[in-house]
Amino acid sequence: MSSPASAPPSPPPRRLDPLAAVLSYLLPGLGQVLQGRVGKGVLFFVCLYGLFFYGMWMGQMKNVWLPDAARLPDAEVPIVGKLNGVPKAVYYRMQFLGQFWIGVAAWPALVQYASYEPGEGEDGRAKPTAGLGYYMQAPSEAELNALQRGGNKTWDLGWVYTVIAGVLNVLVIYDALAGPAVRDDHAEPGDGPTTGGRS
Amino acid sequence: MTPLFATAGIYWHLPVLLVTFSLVYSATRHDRWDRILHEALGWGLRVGGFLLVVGVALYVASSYPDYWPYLIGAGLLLAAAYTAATTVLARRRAASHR
Repeated sequence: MSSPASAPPSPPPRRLDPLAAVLSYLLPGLGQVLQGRVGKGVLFFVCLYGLFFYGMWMGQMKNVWLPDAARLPDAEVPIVGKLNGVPKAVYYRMQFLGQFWIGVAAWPALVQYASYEPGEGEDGRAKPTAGLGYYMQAPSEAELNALQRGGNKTWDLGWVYTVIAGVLNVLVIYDALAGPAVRDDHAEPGDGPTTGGRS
Repeated sequence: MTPLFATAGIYWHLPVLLVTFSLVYSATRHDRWDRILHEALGWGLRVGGFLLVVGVALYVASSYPDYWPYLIGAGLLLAAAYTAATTVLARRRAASHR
């Protein structure tokens, strides 16, 4: 058993890097690239965007959206009370709470939500948004029913993948902010800073 | 056709999730590539093994519904054996480091 005198000195406190954290939110791994940890940044980008868009592909590109809050029944939450606007839409589409953290890739859903005009598009859908079309727009009831009845649970599994990608990016954001959870003692120069801050 | 194989198509998507999760989670824990890959392999094997065991257990339970008490017994025995083996290994490892 080692005595306290022979214990290794505790490492210096980590320097936080909020800018890198914001960049890693916007684009997974961008904060790590800024910190010089290019390999890890590329790994995060490829893996998380790969998982997110693979999940969207499984759901026929129709599983990331926010519903139109105005057309939904009232949402009452204990303590908070009646919800309106985006909180109400998220209440009815909790998946978006996880998907949001993938960053810019989920923003078209917010644009579609903000510019939603019901009932003027094809097949009872809302009017397509300029520049985005129907991409990440809330599907109609008929579309949702067809997606859920027609497949073999692939559509459901797809949104699970997109949520996992978003939640994993929260870990990536933390890695950009404060460095990896375990401080490797003998990090190689090419691996970048182990203190988490930019060098 | 059993329920397992009726929806077997969706299981082919699981390796994508397994590999991605293992690599990303491990990379948020380490900066060194050797440690990232080592930990990712460990997570991949553990999660994959767990999913395999759960899948086989559900398949056996759905195929042979009368034998579920034996299945639970076998599961408990396996869990006990795994716990004992990992405990012994951890103690040996700790003793060798002293």
